[in-house]
Amino acid sequence: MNSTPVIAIRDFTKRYGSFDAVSNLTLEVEPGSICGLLGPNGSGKTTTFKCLLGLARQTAGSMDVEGAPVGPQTFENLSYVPERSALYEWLTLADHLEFNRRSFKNYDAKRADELVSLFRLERKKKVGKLSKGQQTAVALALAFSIRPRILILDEPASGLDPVFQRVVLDLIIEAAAMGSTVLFSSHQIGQVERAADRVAILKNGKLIVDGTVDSLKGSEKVVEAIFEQRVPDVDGLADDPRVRRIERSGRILRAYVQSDSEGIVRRLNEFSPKNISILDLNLEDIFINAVGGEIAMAGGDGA
Amino acid sequence: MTYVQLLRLRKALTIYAGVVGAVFFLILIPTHWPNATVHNDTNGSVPLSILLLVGFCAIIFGTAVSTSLNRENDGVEMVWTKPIARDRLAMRYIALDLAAIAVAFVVALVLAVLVFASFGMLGAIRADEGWFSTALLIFGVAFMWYGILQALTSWQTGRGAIVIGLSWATFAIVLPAFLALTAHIPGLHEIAVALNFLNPLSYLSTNNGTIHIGLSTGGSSLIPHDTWLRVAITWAFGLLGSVAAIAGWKRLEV
Repeated sequence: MNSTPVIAIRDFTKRYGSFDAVSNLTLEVEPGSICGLLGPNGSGKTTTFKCLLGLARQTAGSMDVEGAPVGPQTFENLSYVPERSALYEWLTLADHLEFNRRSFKNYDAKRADELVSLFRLERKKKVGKLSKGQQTAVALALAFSIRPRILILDEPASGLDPVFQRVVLDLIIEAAAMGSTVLFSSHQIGQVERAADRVAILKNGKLIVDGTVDSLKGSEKVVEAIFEQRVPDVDGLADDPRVRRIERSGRILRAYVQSDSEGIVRRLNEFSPKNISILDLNLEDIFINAVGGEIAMAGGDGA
Repeated sequence: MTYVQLLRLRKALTIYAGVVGAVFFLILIPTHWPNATVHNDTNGSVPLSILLLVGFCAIIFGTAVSTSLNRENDGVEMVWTKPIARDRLAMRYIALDLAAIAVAFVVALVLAVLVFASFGMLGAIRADEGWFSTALLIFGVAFMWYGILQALTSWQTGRGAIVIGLSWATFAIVLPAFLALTAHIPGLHEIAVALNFLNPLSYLSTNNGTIHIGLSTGGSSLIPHDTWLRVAITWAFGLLGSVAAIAGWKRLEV
C-alpha cells in the first residue's frame, strides 16, 4: 500500500442539525482497487458519496480524489451512479448518450454501443417508460461509456435481475483490471465479496470494519456444533477469551472464534454434538457480526 | 453541457409557437368572416400595440422557463457530475433562457405582423420614436420577472410551478389591489408602494395612459416615468435575480 490513494477520506463528519449522519470516517481507496462500502440503510453510505462528490458539504474532515478536493475537471474521469435515478424521464437513452457525448472528451461511442447491447436497451424509448432495473442499466451504460478512471457506484445493481447483476459485477471487475478505481455500495453482500478487494462497513455513520476481504475472512473461524436435542449450557464459553461471540439457534450453536478453534472444538465435543465443524467466515458473517446480530438473526437466539 | 436545456427550450418554444399561433389564428377567423369589417382606430400607435401584445406573450413564456435551475434540482447529480463549474453552467442556462425569451418575442412579433398584414394594415406599422426603448422595457420586465423567479426557486427542490403560479397572482392581482386599497391609508400605502417597486408589471404602467396593466397606482409610486430609467431598473433586477439564483444554486445540497 505504498501508492497514493485515489480516494482519500480523512476524519470526515457530516452533521444534520444535531444528528451525525457520518462521524470521523477515514477511508482510502488505492489505485486500481475495488472497495465495497457496506452498511444497513441509513448508515451513511450515500451521504459519504455525496459529500465526496461535492453534492453535499462535509461538516468536518477532508475528502480528496486524486490528491485534491473534487472540482469540475475531476468529472472528466469520474463516473457516478446514484442510488436514486437522476435521469431525465422525458428524454430517451439516445438523448442521454448525446448529452454524454457533448459533455465528456473521453466519451467512447463504440463502448456505449456495446453497453447498450449488453443491457439490451432501446435507444428511442423514453427513460420514464423504463423499469427501475432498466433505468439503472441506462445509468450504468452512461457511467461506463466514458471509460472513467474512477467509478463511484451507489447500489449499482439495484432493481436488476440476477443475470444483469452479474453483468454489472463483471463490468466493475473488468474496469478495475483496466486500472480504474471503484468505490461502490451494495446490499448484495455476495457481489461485494466477489468483486471487492477491500471492504468497509458503516454502522450509524461510523466505520466499524475496514480491511481486505481476505484478511477479514481470515480473522475469525466459526465453530458450528449441531446437537441432537437443544443446545446445552456450555459454562463460561461466552466469556472464553478465544471466543468473540456465540449464537444459539434451535439445535445449532455457532461460536465465532478468534484463535485456537481446535481447542474450542475439543471443548464442545465434551457435550457430544451430533456434528461439529470449523467453517471459514464469509463476508455475510462479517457483516452480520459487525452491524449487530439482531438485524439478521431475527428469530434466532443471539447470545 | 447545456444539451438538455436546449432540448427543454426547443420543446417549450414549439409549444409556445403553437399556442400563440393558434390564438392569432382564432383572432383571424371572425375578422375574416364574410361581411366582417375591421376598423383601424389605433391612432397611429400600431407599433406600441404590437409590442405590448407580443411583449406580454414573451413575458408569459419567460415566466414559464424561469425555473430552469430549479428543474434540475430533482436529479441534479446528472449535471453536477459533469466537467463544468456550477456557476458557468448556471450562466449558460440563464443565457439560453434569455435567448429563448427573445426568440419568443420575435415569434410573437412575426405572427402579430402577419395578423396585421392579413387586414391589409402592414403599411400602418411604422417604427415610432420610442419603439426601441419600449421593446427593451418589455424585455426588461420579462427579465426582471425571470430573475425574481430564478432567485426564489434555484436553491430549492420542486415547487417551481407553484412559485410561477403564485407570482402571477401576486404581481397581476395582489400587489396592484393592495396598492389601490391602501391609497388612503398612510403607512400601509407606503409599504404597498415599496412592494410595487418589485412588481415587474408595474413598470408597464405609464402616466400617459398609453400602456396600462394592472390597477391604478392610486397616488404615489416609486416607479420612474422615464422609460430608459425603467429599462435600467428592470434589467438591473433581472441581473440581480440571476446572480442571486446562481449563488443559491451553487449552495444547494442534495
